[in-house]
Amino acid sequence: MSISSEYSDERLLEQYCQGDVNAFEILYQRYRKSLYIYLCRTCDNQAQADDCYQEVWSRVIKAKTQFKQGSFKAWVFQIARNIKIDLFRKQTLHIVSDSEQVEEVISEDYPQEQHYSNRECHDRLRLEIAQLPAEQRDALLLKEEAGLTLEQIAKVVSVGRETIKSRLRYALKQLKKVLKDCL
Amino acid sequence: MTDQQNDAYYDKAFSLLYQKSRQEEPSQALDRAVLQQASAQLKKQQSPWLRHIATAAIMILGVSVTLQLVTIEEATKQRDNEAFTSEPSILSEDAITHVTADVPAEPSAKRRLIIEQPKEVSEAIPTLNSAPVLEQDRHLDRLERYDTVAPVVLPKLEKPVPQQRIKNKAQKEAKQEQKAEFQEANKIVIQKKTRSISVLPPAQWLEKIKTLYRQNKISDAQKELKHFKQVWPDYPLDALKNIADRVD
Repeated sequence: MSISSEYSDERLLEQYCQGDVNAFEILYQRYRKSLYIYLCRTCDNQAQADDCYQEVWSRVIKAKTQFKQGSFKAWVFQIARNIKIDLFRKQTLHIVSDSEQVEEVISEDYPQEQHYSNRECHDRLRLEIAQLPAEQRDALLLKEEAGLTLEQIAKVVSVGRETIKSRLRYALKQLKKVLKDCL
Repeated sequence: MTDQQNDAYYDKAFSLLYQKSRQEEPSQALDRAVLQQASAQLKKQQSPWLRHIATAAIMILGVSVTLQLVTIEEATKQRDNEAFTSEPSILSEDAITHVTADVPAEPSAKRRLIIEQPKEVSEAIPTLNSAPVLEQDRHLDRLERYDTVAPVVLPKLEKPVPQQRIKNKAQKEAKQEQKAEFQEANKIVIQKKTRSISVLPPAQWLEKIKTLYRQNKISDAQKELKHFKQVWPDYPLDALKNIADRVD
C-alpha cells in the first residue's frame, strides 16, 4: 500500500497502528527537527536533549494506540514537555549550576550594543531563549517550533489562553530588547 | 513609523532570525534507533497474532482428534451391540466342521477363520423361530463365538505398556484362548450328543418341560431341563422350580 506524504499526521499514525512502518517514517521526518530543536532549547545540554528525544519517540511508539483524537502535533509536544519536566525535577540542582554558568558566559562574551554576524546572532538567540523564564520559553518554543496555536499551547501547558498570550508577549519583548542589534 | 508598525517589523525580523537559527538536527544514530524501535514494535504487535493462531490451530487439532476417537469408540460399541442384538444366525455346516477341526491343532487358526468368514455366514442364516432345530443350536454356538471373537476384530487404541506387561498379557491371552477353545470343543461334543433333543425359544421350551413334569415324565423333563440349562444358562427358572418341587 502506498502512503502519500500529504496524509495528515493522524492518518499516518493510524496507518502505523495498522502495521505500516512507512507511515511512521513519514511522520518521523515531519517532526524530527522541530522536536529535536524544542528539546535542545529547553534541556541543559545536547546529551540530555538526545535522551529526551529518544524517550519521546519511544513513548509515541508504545502509546500510539492511546492517541484517539485531536492534534498529533500537540500530543507529541505534550509528551516532550512532560519528559523534559520529569528530567528537570530529577536534576534541579544541576540545572541551577548550569544557568549560573550561562549567565557568566553572556556577561563576559556578549556585551550589549554591539553588531553581530549572523552566526553570532543565532548563538545569542539560543542563549537568550535559554535565559527566559521557563514558562515564557515553553510558550515561545511551542509557538515558534511546534507551530501550535494559542489554544493548543494553552491545552498542552494546562493554563488559560490569555495566560499564554501574556507569556508570549513578555518573552518576545525581552528577546527583541536584547537582540535589537541582530534584528 | 508607528508603534504597531514597529512591533510588526520586529515580530517579522524575530521570526526570520529564529528560523535561521534552527540548525540543530538529531544524529543519524538517533534516527536509526527510533526507526528500528518503531519497526520492532510492529513486529512485537504482530507476533501475538501468530501465537494466537498457532494456539487456535493446536486446539482445533486436539478437538478434532478427540472427536474422532469418540466417534470410533461409539462405532465400536454400536458394532458390539449390533453383534449381540441382531437377528440370530448360524454357521453353515461346512464352516462349523472347518472351525472345530482346527480348534485343537492350531488355536489361532480358528479365530482367523471366523474373522475371515462372518459375512458369508450371516448371509446364509435364517431367523431363529423359523430355523430348523439343529441350525438354531448352531446359531447359539455362533453367538458365543462372536462374544469371544469380537474384541479381536475391532480396532482398539491401547496405551503403550512395558515389555514385561506385554509378555504377561500375551501369556494370559494364550491361556484364555486355550480355555475358551476347550469350552468350545466341549460344547460341540455336547451339541453332537444332544442333537436329537429339540431347541426351542426359552419360554416355549420351559412350557414343554412343565408339560413333561405335569405328565409325570420326570426323566424326560430332567433331560430337557439339563439341555435347557446348557443352552440358556442364565435364563430364570423360578416358575419351573415350583412345579419340579411339587413333583418331587
